[in-house]
Amino acid sequence: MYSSYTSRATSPSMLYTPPLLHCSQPLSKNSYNILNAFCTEENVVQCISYINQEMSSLGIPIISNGSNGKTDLNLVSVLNTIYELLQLWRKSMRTMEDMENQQLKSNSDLDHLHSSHSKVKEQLELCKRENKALQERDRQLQLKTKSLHNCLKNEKEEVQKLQNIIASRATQYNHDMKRKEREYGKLKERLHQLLMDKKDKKLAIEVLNYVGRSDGKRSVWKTEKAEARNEGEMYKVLLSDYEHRQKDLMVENAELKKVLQQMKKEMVSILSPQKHGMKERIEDSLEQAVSDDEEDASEHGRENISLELSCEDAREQLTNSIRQQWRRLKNHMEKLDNQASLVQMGAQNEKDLISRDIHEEEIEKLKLEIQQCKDLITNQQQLWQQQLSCPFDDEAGALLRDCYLVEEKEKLKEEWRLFDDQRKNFERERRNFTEAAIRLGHERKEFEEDRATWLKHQFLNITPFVDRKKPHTAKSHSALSTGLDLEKQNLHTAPAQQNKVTRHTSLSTPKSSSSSSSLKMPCTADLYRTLCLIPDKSSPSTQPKRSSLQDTNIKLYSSQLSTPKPRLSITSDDSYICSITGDENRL
Amino acid sequence: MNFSEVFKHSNQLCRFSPDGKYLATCVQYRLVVRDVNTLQILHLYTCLDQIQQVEWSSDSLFILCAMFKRGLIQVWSLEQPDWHCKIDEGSAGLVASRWSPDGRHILNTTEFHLRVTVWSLCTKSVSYIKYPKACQQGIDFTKDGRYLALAERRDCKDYISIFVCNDWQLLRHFESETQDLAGIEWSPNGCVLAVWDTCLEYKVLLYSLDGRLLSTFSAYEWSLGVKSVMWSPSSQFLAIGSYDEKVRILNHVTWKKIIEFEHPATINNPKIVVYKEVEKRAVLGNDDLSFHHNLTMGSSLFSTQSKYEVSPAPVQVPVIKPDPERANPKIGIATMAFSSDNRYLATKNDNMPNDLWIWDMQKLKLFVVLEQAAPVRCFQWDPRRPRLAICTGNSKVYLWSPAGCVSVQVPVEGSFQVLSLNWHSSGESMVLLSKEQLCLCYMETPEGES
Repeated sequence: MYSSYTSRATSPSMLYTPPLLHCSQPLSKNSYNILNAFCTEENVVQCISYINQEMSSLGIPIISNGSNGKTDLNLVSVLNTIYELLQLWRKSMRTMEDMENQQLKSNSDLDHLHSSHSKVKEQLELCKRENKALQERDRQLQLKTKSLHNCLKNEKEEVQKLQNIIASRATQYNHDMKRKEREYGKLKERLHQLLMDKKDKKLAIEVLNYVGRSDGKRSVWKTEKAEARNEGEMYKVLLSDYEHRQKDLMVENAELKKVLQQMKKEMVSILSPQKHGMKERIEDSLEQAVSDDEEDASEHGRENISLELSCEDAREQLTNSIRQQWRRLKNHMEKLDNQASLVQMGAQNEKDLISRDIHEEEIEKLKLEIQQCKDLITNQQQLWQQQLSCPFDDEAGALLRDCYLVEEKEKLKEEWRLFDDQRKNFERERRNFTEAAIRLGHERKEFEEDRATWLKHQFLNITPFVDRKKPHTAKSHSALSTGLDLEKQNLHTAPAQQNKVTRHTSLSTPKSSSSSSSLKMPCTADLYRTLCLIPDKSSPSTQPKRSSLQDTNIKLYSSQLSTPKPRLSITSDDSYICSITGDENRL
Repeated sequence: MNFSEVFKHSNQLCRFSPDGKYLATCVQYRLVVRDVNTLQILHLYTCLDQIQQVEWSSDSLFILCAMFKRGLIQVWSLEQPDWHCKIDEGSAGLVASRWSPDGRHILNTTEFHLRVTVWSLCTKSVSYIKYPKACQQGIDFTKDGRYLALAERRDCKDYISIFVCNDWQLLRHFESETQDLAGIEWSPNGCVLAVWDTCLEYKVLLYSLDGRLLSTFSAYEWSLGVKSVMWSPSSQFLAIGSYDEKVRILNHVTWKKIIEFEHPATINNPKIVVYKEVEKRAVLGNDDLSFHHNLTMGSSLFSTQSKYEVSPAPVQVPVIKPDPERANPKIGIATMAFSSDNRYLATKNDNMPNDLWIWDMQKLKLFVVLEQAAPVRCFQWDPRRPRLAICTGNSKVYLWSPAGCVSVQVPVEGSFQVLSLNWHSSGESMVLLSKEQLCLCYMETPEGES
């Protein structure tokens, strides 16, 4: 087989001799060199055994069983072996490739690591260098600061020294100045002496004749009397000056006082009417003001006196009253300010604006309530005081009482708040209630009317004159057209009301509905239920009832009206009746 | 406004008599007395030397002429032209001379401030006051002429002596709490004496007539202090101008500061009116009409026209920087003047030489600023009305009143540079002084006013 292969292999080479060079390469790969071949004709057996051995070592089934040198190669086994070998080879090749790849990868990784390592090393080096530089700079700076510190110290010392020098110079200078001045004085004195001694001939006055004094008086001797007179005159001058000043100040003072008085009066006149107005509104906060008013009344009488008086208490009184007035005015202004801001706010949200009448009514009500509550509180307080005054009569008792009162007050406040909340709730509920009542009235009325029409129909159906009904309905149609305005009014509410009718009428018994008084006074439980204020416990029980009634209704309708058109006529009939009775407007 | 003809004078010596009837002018060694209304020469006196100072006695009867170089004083009488008096201070010398308020005594200060000699014209007697202090303002009489305050220096301490002028008796003598007293000034009512210390220390002391210390005021320390002090005519305010370019006003009740007037380099308040003088050269042939007008006005062809313009709000005031190395630096408020009705105060800051600040003393606010084209030389209030006359050393005189301000060219042949001015006591005229000439300027009295 090998030979045939070789022959086959060689045969092409023999056939194609000219492109030998081309063929030589593949040939050398594929062809077996006879000399170096592993297996030759002679050593087939050895080869087989060798291969067998090898195979067995590899764990592959051996090629031949023949152990006695016979060459009976099992083709299948050989092929299997070859196949397995190939597989093995492929596998190993693959693993090798993988390994190679792995290696390449790891190599590149290694390279990368190497490079990064070197980089990091460089960085480290750089950092180290920088650190060194910084350290060096730091050292230098420290040196510099040290030197600067030294400089500063030196400078400070210098300054100190200079200051000392300046101070010493100043003292020296002052001393010298004084010395020189003294010398100068001495010199002056000496000069003066000299001048006087010399009897300076030149020093003279030549007057043709003496001149009389401007005041015509003769000069007087210098005597003690004259001195005293001079003193007296001086004091006179001073006194007159002070008197003048005092007069000026008095005038000024009087004027200022007058201004103050006037201001006070005006303030009082401005404040008093508003105070009365306020009194009505907020009574409790005006206790102080009332006392002030009393004071004012007494002050009015004294006003004229205080204007004349300049003594201190009068002045104090005036200033005090002015101060009080001023404080009040300020408070008032602040209040006005607040009101103004409130009004502004109110203007901003006009939606929430309640009409004045309602507001005032409400306020009246609230006031009444407040009054009642106050009365209650005072009563209670009195009672408590009576109670408490018995066991305690010393200071501690009073203190305790006080704290009790405070406590009570707190409690009462709490209660009051609660009460207020409740009141508000009630108010709301009442409003809801009335609304519901109105609604209920409507509904009942409608139901009544429904019933009436139904009864009428029933009655009409029962009567033998069935034919007459048609013109009647036609008439109602015409009536509808005439009562168009009313129709229009009810048009929007009609379907909703219809639904409600079907729902709510079930709650009232037919008996009660018949009576007009029960129409106005439905029981509260019903009301609550209608308003869904109470969770409807009885709903399962009422549900079937309602549904049944509805059913009956439906039945009624269905039995009565086979087509929707007649039903519409009925509703229009309802409205017609309504227009006739006109009751609904009353409710 | 009318102007008189021009007269000669020397040494800026030209004085109205206190009664307003006469005008005394000195020309070299001659003293000329004229009638104010006619300007005719009434008397002509000849002195022994060039006159250096001239002063009227309070009753307008005598005139004192001082010749310091010779240490000589000559007194002339208006009533008796041949009466004369000569006072020779001899070897002691003479540096200052003044009348006592009674007009019968003359106070001479000798050289080196050795003494003050009081000469009496009534008795020929002489008395001495020793140790007068050489300072800015060391002698002051009260307005009513009753008392004299004199600053003294003895044993390196400042003293103040108060004399009764009637008989020259010493009334009070007390030590003042100053380092180096610089000046004293009586309040116009004669009851308070303001004393201020040297510029090295900001200190103003207020003494009563009887020598009690009423109050001490010091605005700051360690800097140059008081430069000028001025009482308001009502004695209500004391204005203190200082080197920090501020004026502080003290009140007469508590002697505390009411307000501080600053002189800022920028005026931002639009309420303050700033009048700025704008100069315009008259251009020849520009407008024939104006040319002729100028000719008829008699003003010099080459003189500059000027008018005031109101500057809009932020105004930058020209400031000169003083030399800090020099003594007495040109900074701070050196001159102040209250108007006669106490209503206004005019101040001048030395480092803003072109500007005059007028303060409203009722509102205690800056009212008007006048910015001149040249440095303000002299300004004086009309003694009767709130009217301020200003001169800047050019040929114009400037007038301010609350109604506004005007500049008036002095219509004189040749150059007439107004260096100073002096109001007549009636406020109806004033004398303008150039270097060698003078002329009277008559105000137009408004109708209805006498």
